[in-house]
Amino acid sequence: MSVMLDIIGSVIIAGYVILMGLQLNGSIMGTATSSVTNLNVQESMSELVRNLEYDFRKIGYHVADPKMCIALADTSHIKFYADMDRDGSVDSVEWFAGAPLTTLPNPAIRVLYRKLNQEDAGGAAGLGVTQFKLRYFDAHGTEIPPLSTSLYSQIWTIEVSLRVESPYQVQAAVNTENSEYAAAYWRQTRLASRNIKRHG
Amino acid sequence: MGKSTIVYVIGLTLLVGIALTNIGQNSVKTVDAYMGYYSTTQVHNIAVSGANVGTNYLLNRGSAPPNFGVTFFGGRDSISYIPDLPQPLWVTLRSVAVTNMSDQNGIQYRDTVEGVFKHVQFAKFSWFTESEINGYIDKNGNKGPYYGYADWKITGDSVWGPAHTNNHFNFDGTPYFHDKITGSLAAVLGPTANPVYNGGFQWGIQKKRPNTSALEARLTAAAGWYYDGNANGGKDVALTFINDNVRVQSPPGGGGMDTTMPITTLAPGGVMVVKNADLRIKGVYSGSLTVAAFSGTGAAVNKGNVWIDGSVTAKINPVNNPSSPDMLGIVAGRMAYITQDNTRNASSQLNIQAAVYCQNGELTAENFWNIPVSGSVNLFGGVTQISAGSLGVFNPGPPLQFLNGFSYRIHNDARFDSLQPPSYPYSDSYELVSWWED
Repeated sequence: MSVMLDIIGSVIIAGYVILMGLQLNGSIMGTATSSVTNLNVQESMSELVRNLEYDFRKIGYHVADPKMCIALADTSHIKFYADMDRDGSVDSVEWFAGAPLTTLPNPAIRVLYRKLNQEDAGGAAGLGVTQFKLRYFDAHGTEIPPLSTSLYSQIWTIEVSLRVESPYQVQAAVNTENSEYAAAYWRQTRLASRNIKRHG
Repeated sequence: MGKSTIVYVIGLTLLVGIALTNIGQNSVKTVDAYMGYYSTTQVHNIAVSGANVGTNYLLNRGSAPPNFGVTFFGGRDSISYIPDLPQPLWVTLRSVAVTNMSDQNGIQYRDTVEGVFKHVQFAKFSWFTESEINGYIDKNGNKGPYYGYADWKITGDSVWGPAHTNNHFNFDGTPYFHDKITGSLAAVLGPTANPVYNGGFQWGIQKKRPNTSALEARLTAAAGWYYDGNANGGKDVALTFINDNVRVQSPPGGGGMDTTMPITTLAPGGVMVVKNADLRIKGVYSGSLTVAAFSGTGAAVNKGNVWIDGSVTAKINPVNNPSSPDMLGIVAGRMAYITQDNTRNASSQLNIQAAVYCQNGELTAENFWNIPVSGSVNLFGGVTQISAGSLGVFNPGPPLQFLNGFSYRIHNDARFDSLQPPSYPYSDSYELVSWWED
């Protein structure tokens, strides 16, 4: 009888331990996935920011008339001129966000494109950009409405906001019931190329 | 049962261990990604900060300061000045920063910022003054009736091309500035002021002009033709440009020297300097030229004026041909006067295609407050002067009504953004040409 009780007891304990193990395994896997996803988001963000800053710092470089640096200024699309490779010829550079993709679980993800001169625009959906927002300000700090062509010459600083999210939801911390997209957000409030500001 | 439990525990321990190792590695990579961005931002900030310090050292000096290095913010920055690149009067500032931190390969983070600067060249300004007040002084040294009055730019006024004052502008209404406007002090605004800065504005900018002796020495050294009034009986001299030739008369009204020759023969290099006398000019010129007049002492103390007796225009018109090789600099040690001519009327046109520089005076019209309505002066180029020269008197209305003198139209010559007439004055101050950040 006591043997039977031992067997039943050990089966119950073993089952409980297995259930605990499975629960722990799920939690660990979720945390691990979340960790990897956050890493990916952060790496995407830092890489994008580096590229954005690299380009935006050069706006107007070797452009004879600083008033002509910017050719298009929209909320999520900018086109400007600069000698990007220092070869003496002025290049055109565009950054713009495409429409939201429908093939990923995260419906907000879109492709952030960079277009240099007449080359085809390049971008990658895997970077997970969900927001690319631009605002423009004159020397007074007054916001210049997007697509105000006649005011492009007065653009003094640019505010750039970028949000990157994971394509899939991951668990929030250790709470497996609560999942959301891993996200990173970056904003440069007054990004300006010195070439725009050079003295008249 | 006991053995199997141990197996479970060992299995779970391995599972947790592996998972925690992965999580730990991801955390390390996350920190590594953050540190990578932080370090590149840090070294970039060091390079930019050093470049800013170097720029401030440079801007208000006549020549490049010595190279220097600074240590701050966890790194070291070396600032060097490379003169005469890419062309004379230019200097390249290079700021190279290195952090104390290294990446995982042991390589220190580095960044470079380069700024190219040049001496401010006055030819590019369509309007430049030391102060925005009238400074009319006649040929005998007497002040005009509006001397010392503030110059106000109001609705209807427009400036095409860079504008600057080493004091402050005065605005009311909606004057229009097509290109960037700068000043040492913030503009004084009238009650209805709402100026339009199409190219932006910046206050706190000082652009130093050379002193008279330095300016005269530079031009004299470059002169292909030098006329000294003291050596010619105190007589003034007139140059009438006739395309490729120039007629030289001393005195200007005739009765003395009167000769015509190719401009290149009179002044190889294109620089013509008059000392101790006034210079009178008119006609159609060819080539890249600068004419200058400087005063002296004694009887010549009020000399050094340039008199514009009639239109002075280029043989190949730069207004509709930006590649025209013809450009003229007019440099007056004292005043530049548009000569009084009472035969002009409201439809008259006087065209000046030149950059005008008045070291101790202004571009004005002789007796502008006392001459008939004389039409329009069309200055294609610009003027740099000590005070704000006026050409006429008008009632602002509405309707606007001209009472005396000329209406004034100034349009910059885009060629002067990068070129200028030979030995035309330039500032001791530097300005930014281009700025490169990696």
